Formats: sequence, structure tokens, C-alpha cells
Amino acid sequence: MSYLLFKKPGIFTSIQDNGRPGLSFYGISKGGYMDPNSADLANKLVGNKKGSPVIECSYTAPTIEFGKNFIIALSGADMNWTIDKNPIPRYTSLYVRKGSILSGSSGHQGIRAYIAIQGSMDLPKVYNSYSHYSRCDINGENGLILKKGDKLPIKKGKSKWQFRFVSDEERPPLSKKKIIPIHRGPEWHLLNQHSKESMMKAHWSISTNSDRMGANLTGHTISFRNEINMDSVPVFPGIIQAPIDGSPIVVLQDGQTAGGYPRIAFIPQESLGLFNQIRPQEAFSFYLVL
Amino acid sequence: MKSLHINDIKFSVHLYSEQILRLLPSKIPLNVSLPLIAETILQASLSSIENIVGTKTELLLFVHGNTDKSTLRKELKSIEIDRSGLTNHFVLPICFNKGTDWNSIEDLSGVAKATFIDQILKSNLSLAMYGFLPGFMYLDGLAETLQILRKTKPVKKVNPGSFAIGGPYAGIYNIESPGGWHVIGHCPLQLFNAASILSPFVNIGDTFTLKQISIAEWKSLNAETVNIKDYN
Repeated sequence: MSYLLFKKPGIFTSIQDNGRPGLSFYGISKGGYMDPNSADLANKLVGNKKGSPVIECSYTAPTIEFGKNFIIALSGADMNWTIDKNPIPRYTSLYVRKGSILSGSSGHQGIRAYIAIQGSMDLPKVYNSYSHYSRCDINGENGLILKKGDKLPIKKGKSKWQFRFVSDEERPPLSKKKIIPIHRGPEWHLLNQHSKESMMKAHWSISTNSDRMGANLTGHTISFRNEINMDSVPVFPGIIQAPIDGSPIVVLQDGQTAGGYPRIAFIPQESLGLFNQIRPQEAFSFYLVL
Repeated sequence: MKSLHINDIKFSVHLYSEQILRLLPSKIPLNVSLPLIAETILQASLSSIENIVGTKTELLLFVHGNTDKSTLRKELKSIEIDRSGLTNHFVLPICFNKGTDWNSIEDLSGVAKATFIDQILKSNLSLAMYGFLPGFMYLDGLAETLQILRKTKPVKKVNPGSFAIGGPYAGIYNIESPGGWHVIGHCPLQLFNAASILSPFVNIGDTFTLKQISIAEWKSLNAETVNIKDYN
């Protein structure tokens, strides 16, 4: 059996695929890649099927030793990746030899990087997904939050080496200033006029007190026209809730499936990956799609 | 698509995207709750539906990307809803001395702790819906005098087993999570098992009576893993 040895785990490195649908009724969100576009590109570069599991690295790169020769690809945030201390590019297929060490540093131009390995991960699927789910023991206890010394078993693919790359134009625009589109949510009308304008114009940032469940927004306080007391209603990744204290929360991949705070807006699914690459405390703006 | 029918119940459709649909009933149906409809759709394993959430007032459907509208309409129209009303009843032991928010609860409700406990013990609660977090149960039936607004800002950490109230509901946090409800006690039973999510201990409409337990009784139950079915 081939494997990857995690010599250093990084801050929050986990296995993710395109998620675990079908359980939201019981309060378990679909989960999966935080930046699906980047993950899809990594899989494509190594010839894996769309939706295959990848290694998702958040904030800081892990250090990985390869137990055999592998074809890999890196995408998403730039973590100054090296193989045996020699810089290597992202968005290209790479042939790495047994004993090589992949390492890097903290991410810039984004905070989430993806490592795809040609072949399949020899891990149990739980409820039809390999994804680690951060809220309870679904693919967590088996080591899918990767720790120092973990060995990730890989069944190597049969495809031969093929050079592939992704052009600059096809890559997610992580280096550009972040302007995130939003649509009005079902309770947008409950905001007062000043708060509506704040949502559209103001510079926001994500609090460090955020995780795969939700991003707490800071920068401005929003308020409502009247006192709010609403029933619990469905939410999903991308929904922006506003607790009564006026600090909005963006529900993310491992977030709740229902909540009782007003859903003032939502980030469209195709833009959520870009939002999830914003570093905490980095300024960004929303614009309202009319 | 402006509307569709689930069985004979008409819903207006509001699109978050082509795949994410918010459904509002034209009128709240009698003898059947929206979470029960959602549970029925889930169990029917429709080819058109990837995921579903059902709350008291809304349904949220995640439609498979390659589904055509006529298939979606046909499948939802054909759903058979069980309106028999057959349910199970459970006793739920709660240690109110483990409540962490009694000061704010007394302030917001204007009801003293002892009176509050006395009234909630007389409540006939039922499982309105699952949601929020894995296995989180929203329990209906809280008297209006016991209903208080959610916290203005959710706290970062609520302990597993916390029995809490928020708006019109009581509920139990099965796992550690952030939370905006007021914690009035602790339930030492296992209510949710991640290994058997699709065969839950409790189903929509099942009813509950609360039983007050002492710290000593709580310690005894909490020391071992007792699930709600075995306890009852």
C-alpha cells in the first residue's frame, strides 16, 4: 500500500470531497470543500474524477513525505510550496519521487490550499463521503483531521504521467481585491435603511473567531426596523444571518441547517469558495446583485 | 417555477438558485407538519432531491443539478404523507440545577426559577423538527409565559446535553456548539447517534414529558451512556 506520511500537520488539515448530501433534515450539513473551484482544478490536474477527496490545508502548509512515487497537484492559496526545499508551482501536475518531502509556509493569496493525489484514498466512506465533518464524530476519529505521524493510505491510479496545467485566466482570482456578490435574503426587508446601505458599501472583515461552521463579520453593526422574534427557518452555506447584536454571520460548509436569526442576504454558491479564501481581518466588500 | 404541489398541498417557490428552492405553503395544512412532509420526502429517496430541510413554516429543497422540472413536479406530487398521527411518548430527565442561564431567564420571562420549572414540567412537548446541528431537536408546546427571545449574541460554546429554550421552542444540544438559546438544565441521555442517523430514536411528532432529576440522579445517569429508548 502506498501512503503519505504527515511529518507536520499544519493548523487544520483535513480530507474533504464534494460533501455528504441527504442528512440536512437531521441537522447535518453537506460540508465538503471550502473552495470547490480550487479543489476541482487540483483533481482535474491529476486526472481524478470531479468530487474526489483531496487534502484541504487551512492557513498553514503541512509537511508530507511521500511513501512512493506519486502524481500530485496543488491549487488554491499560495503556501510557498517546496519539494525537498526546491520551490514548485501550483496549478500544474507534478511527479514526485518516493522519499520526497512536500512542505510550505503560511498561505497568501488565500488561506485554503488543496493537494490532489492521483488515485484514491483508502479510507472508509461515511454516509457516502470521505469529508471530515467538524461538528461531530463523522470521519474525525479515524484521523481525517490530520495529525503528526498520520499515514494516509493511497491506492495509486493507473494513468500514466501526463503534463497538465491551468492557465492564469482559469484560476480562481485569489490575488485580486475581494468583492463578494450577495443577493437579498428572505428577511432583508427587516433591516433599516442605514444597515442596507452598510451591507452594500461598507468594508467588512472576517473575525478570527470563525471556523468551517461560520464566519463572523466585523466592521459594522447593522440594525433592524423593529424588534425581531422569528421562528427557526432553514439556512444553508452562504446565508448571512444577523443576530440581534448586529454582527452578521455567514453560514459556512459545516454550519447549521436551521436558525432563528434573520437571513438578511446570501452569497451565491459559485462565489462562496472565493469568500472562504478571505483571510480573517482582511478587508473586503459586498455588492448587492439586483 | 412559481409554485408546485407536494401531494395535494400547494407551495409557492422562491429560488435561491436553480438548485436551491425555498418552499412556503399557501396555507398551513391540517394534521400534517412541514417537517413530517420533509421526513417523508427524505425517506422516499426521490431521484430529483439531493437534500431537504423542513421547519415549521418553510421547506428548503436542494435539487439535483440534472433534474428537469417535470420530474421534480411529478415526484413531489406523488409523495404519500402519513396523516395517521401515530407517535411514541418519552420521559425526558432534566437536571435544572445544571442550567447556566437562570438569571437571564428570570429577567426576560419575569417568572421565578421555581415557578418556571413547575410550569415547564406540566408542558406537553413534542418533536416539531430536527435541525440546526446534528440531531438537535426542536420541541414544541412551550407555554407562552415561558417563551423568551434568543440571546442577542450567540455564545461560542454550549455543552453537549444542555437543555435550552429559544423563542417558541425547547431543545437539546447533542454536541458542543455555539448557541443562542438560554440553558435551563441538562439531559444526561443519549438522544442522537452519529452512527445511525437515518434511524433516529425519536421521530417527528413524538411527545415528551419532562422529569426533574437531582444532581445525584444526574451523576448516576451521566456516568453511563443511556439512550432515550432504553431509558423509557
